Amino acid sequence: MTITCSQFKTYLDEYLDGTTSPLLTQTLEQHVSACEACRQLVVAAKSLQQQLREMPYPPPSQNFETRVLKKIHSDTVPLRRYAIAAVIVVSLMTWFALSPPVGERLVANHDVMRIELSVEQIQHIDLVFHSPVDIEQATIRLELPRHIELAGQGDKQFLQWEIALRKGSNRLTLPLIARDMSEGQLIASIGSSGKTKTFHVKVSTKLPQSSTTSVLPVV
Amino acid sequence: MALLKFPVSRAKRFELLIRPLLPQLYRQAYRLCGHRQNAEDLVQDLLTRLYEQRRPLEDLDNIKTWLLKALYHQFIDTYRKQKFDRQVDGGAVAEEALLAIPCPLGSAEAVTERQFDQQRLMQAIQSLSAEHHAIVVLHDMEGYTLTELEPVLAVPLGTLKSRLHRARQQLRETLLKEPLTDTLRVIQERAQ
Repeated sequence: MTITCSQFKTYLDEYLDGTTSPLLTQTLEQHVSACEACRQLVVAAKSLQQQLREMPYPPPSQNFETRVLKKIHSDTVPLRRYAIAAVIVVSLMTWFALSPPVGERLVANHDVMRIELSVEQIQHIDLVFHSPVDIEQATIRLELPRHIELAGQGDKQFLQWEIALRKGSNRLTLPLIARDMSEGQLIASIGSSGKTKTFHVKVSTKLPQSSTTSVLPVV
Repeated sequence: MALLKFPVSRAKRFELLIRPLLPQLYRQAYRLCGHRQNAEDLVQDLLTRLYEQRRPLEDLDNIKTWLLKALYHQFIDTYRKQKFDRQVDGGAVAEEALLAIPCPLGSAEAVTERQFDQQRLMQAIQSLSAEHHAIVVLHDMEGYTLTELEPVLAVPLGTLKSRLHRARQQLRETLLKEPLTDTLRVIQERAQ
């Protein structure tokens, strides 16, 4: 089968991309070997393709990655604005366990605690969960009072995530910032295998003062 | 005492996912825009929009292809709104780009020739319509097949084929009026 130059040009792009059938490819190559004009066209087109593939590009400006991600992080709270004040330890005890079986309560249900935070300071609250056994998958849920913010989390009032508890003490440190002189409750719940235990921590506020550490007793 | 890890923030998760893909996104954006500042702005606008959509990117099967699609549509939208002129980096930036790759010929004359060719080629690509330009960038430069581009550009395969044909034809017509130095050299070598 023979083809004209005009027909060859129709198939040129598919030929260059290697998507023509074996029979058509053979026909096109026969034409190229016999036609100097089309041969030069193929050479020039292939050269152009190679130059396109190898086209250099300048590196981005030096602070590109930082700049481009800056706005993404603009909803997080800059921690440097705040002084770091006291560490308060709130010790909580899990009442459920995967083993021993359902129903075994390891602590009485009198678990309302109270903490006092200084306004506009980061204060680290250690929630210490005591578990009698390893629990591979537990869910922690935190609900913050409106006047309390978790540093770096913006204005989120609820957080929930999966966690593994080890037998014994497990510490979760919460960097809290009190926004104003108000009172409210921080609610921490931990659940596994359909059972949930909720702890209420009353949070009041005071004006900033020198650093102190208060440790609440184990419930 | 065991320490419980705090959940990673959404912004951090987004960054961890996107940061490794930034070089590819920038390269594709640069090839679409032909201008470094515009390419950076295009990527920044895209990422800001994606973050604000609050879509969990972790759930996507192929995030690279998905990002390419989003970048392409962001480019077309931006181009249509004429937010930026489709201009080509010249002078120092083009030189910077050329110096970033090893020049096989090495001589100063060869570097100048190559730089001139690259600028002409970039200008020829930029003279295409946005859609023709995009098909050349994504198919001929980035190496995506037309079948892969069909869902990305949301255009039927037949339309893509004719779009590519017209785009290449226009490029050849523009460039073959005054062939690129490299092209001339190849033709001359083959003729010998």
